[in-house]
Amino acid sequence: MVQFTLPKNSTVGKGKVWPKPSGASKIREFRIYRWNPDDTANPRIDTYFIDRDDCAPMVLDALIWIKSKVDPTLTFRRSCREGICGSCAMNIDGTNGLACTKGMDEISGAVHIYPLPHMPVVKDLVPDLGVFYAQHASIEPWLQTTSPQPETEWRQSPADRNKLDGLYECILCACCSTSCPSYWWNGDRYLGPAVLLQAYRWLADSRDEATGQRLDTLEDPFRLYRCHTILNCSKACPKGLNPAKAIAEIKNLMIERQA
Amino acid sequence: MRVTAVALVPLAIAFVVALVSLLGKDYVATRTLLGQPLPALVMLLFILAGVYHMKLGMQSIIDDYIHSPKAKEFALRANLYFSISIGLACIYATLKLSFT
Repeated sequence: MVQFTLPKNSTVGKGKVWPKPSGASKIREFRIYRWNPDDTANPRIDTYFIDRDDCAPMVLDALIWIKSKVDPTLTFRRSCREGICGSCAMNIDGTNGLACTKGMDEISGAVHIYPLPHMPVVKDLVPDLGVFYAQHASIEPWLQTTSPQPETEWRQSPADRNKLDGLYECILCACCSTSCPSYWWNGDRYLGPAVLLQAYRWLADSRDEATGQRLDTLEDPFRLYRCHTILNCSKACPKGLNPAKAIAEIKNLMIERQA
Repeated sequence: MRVTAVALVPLAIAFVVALVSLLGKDYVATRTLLGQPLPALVMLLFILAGVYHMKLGMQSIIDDYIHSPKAKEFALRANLYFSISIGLACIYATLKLSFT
């Protein structure tokens, strides 16, 4: 049976309440998941207060403010701060998203922040995405051809290029996969929405000539067919993509191939 | 599962219509309705499609949530036998009403 409750050493306890910034008129409260692999303590929720007049508007700005002015041990990933690298994906106010594109003012009350759900935690807000990346590698996300290499580039008509819109924009932040209950319970065997969207990106590419092999790899009760159209993925995607539709398109290709 | 889902749309509507038409009526009226070939056939198809749909749905839940191979094998078999028993009981009841 899958485990619905947290194991004893993962139950979350009360953490430290850090002091409020002195002299601040606009204060915002943050409750952040903390876990350190170097001690034996259980995870805890620390409470921080930020000075809104001294901090830029995004959730990531607040995290950086806390790290530089309150608690330098707070650990999280971030890089581009503009929604293109996918590093700062985390669970903010109950939904997965990018801290850099989520405004604090979109959230009412205290801002609750956890790492991406159902992933092993490396430290604090940093999840271990090793399996996720291995699954992405397993669908061989590159152009595969058997025709002789053209002297210039592989040509593609504008109409065929348009078929990749809504697919190529995926930044592999894992917000969708880690919001998917099917991926929570069978993440070791089910590829999950992000990887399946990537798989469809290559199936839909007019230049790719490995469609048959790609479908063979996906034809499996777990790799593809654990999708039960729950649609959390499409709701979670911070880039506004629709992985559920891409999965449905793969299922259609399977049916067409059988017919 | 998609096939049974589509099939169940008209069959379930027909079943509800039949059920509503029998509201407040007695046993004889039910037997008279199921004694006619078309309602009896629709009823049997509804039972077959419904039970098969139920079996596939439960199988999907078992595949999702039960990971230990032994427990899974047991649950899948129990699901199969339960579905067959329910299906046969419903078909038997319908035929009995139709032919007596």
